[in-house]
Amino acid sequence: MTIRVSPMVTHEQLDGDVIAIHLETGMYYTFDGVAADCWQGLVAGVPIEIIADRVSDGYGIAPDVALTDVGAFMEALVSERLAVDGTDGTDDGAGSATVFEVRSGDRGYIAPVLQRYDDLEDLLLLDPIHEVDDAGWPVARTD
Amino acid sequence: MRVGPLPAPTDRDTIRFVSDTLDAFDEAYTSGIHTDVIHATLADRHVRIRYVAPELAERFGANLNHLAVDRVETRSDHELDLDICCWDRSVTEVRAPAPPWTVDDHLRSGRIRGLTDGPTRATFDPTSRVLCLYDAERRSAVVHAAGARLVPLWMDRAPFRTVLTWWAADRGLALLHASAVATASGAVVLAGTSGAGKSTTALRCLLAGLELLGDDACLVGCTPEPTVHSVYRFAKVDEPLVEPLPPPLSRALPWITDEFVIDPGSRHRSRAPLRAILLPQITGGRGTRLVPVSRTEALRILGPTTLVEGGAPSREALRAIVGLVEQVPAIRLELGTDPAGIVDAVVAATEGRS
Repeated sequence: MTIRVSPMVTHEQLDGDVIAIHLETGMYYTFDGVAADCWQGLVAGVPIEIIADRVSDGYGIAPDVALTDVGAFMEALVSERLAVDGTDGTDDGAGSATVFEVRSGDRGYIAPVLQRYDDLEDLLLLDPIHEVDDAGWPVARTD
Repeated sequence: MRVGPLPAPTDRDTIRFVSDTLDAFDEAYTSGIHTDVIHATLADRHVRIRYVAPELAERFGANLNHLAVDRVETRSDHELDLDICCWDRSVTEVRAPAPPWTVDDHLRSGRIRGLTDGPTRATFDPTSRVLCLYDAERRSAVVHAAGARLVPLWMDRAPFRTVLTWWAADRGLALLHASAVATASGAVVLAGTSGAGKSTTALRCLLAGLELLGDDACLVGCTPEPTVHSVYRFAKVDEPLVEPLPPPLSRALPWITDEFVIDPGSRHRSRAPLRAILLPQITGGRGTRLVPVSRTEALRILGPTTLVEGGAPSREALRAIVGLVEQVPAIRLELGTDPAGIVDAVVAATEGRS
């Protein structure tokens, strides 16, 4: 199965950290470690099964555990609309897979997780009609 | 019968809408009623702000007119880098054209489907009824208000922030959600989420004699070297201050009654070389410390606070911020309770001593 990065997502990588922003929802995500490896595979168009194989080899974990964890992470990406089903039609993933490697280094294995900046969500979700004070300043919800 | 949302506007619809909106603004502006114009220099670029909005010209201009230059000093119009058209529909008979999108295209935080990225971008805030429209190729922006009385006072502290964020990002600059203070040696930006202590730190420094480039927002570029540019002159004060304020500070934006906004006077600075990104953190201890941190730690704070809270995330803005943290050292400012220690630490950072 192959999924790809949504065209509505912009992303950058710095020192192993990935930052991704969905431009329509405005949500901001970061991931590192195994999650960043998975993202790089996704960007390269590598099928999920091959990403899981490389994670298994690179981090020395059981293939079924890798496939379960990578699959769950990819589902989370789709759920957050950071990724969509299918390829972009230019590559079946096989070519990209030959050059894709995880960067485990000295890191131990931690199941990939998606960090969303929920602490900013209240700000984003301010209801502008009811959640401003008399002068029009935004105020946090009290409920 | 409609069975689903209408398709998002096409590029051609959008181009026509932008063109018609700019034409309508020009018609209102050339009427000569209630008009004003400011020529400004921002990050060495020529920005023109035209108003058909007398109340907003006064409210917004208060915090922006420090950027103004004489018309004769500016470059010719064909070198105009950004033309901001600020339009209060309630003072003119000219109407803006109907937008090509429908209510289904309005997204969270005012974004509009199909116009969150690319050469044309737009936001609409349903409460203030302010439309921000930006066209990168025309180097033009329209900020259209249904009526100045609906525009909340907090916008006076950061006028045109959304369009300036888009414009800056297209030029490799970043309009940071950060404060910036300077000594003769250089500047530091203070970045963090609301409540992290950046405005309080900036105020401590200002009261101690350092110069202010921006409170809550400042423009940063890295070419040819990291530099901070002031956009907004005034600072917001979170804690009560006893008046009269010590010279050269004075009260600003007096119509804002539930916050205290101050003019730094001669302690305002227009630009300064950027020495460090400081990430304030309240510790509760007495002493203040500078602790170098990784680029990724800086990005984890600067990225969301600027791109999410700023409300105008874009590919270019993210790239500009990554470029900034690649070039400028990041330091955690562990804030103690002793004000003098805070100022000493900030001064050290501006001098490259950490």
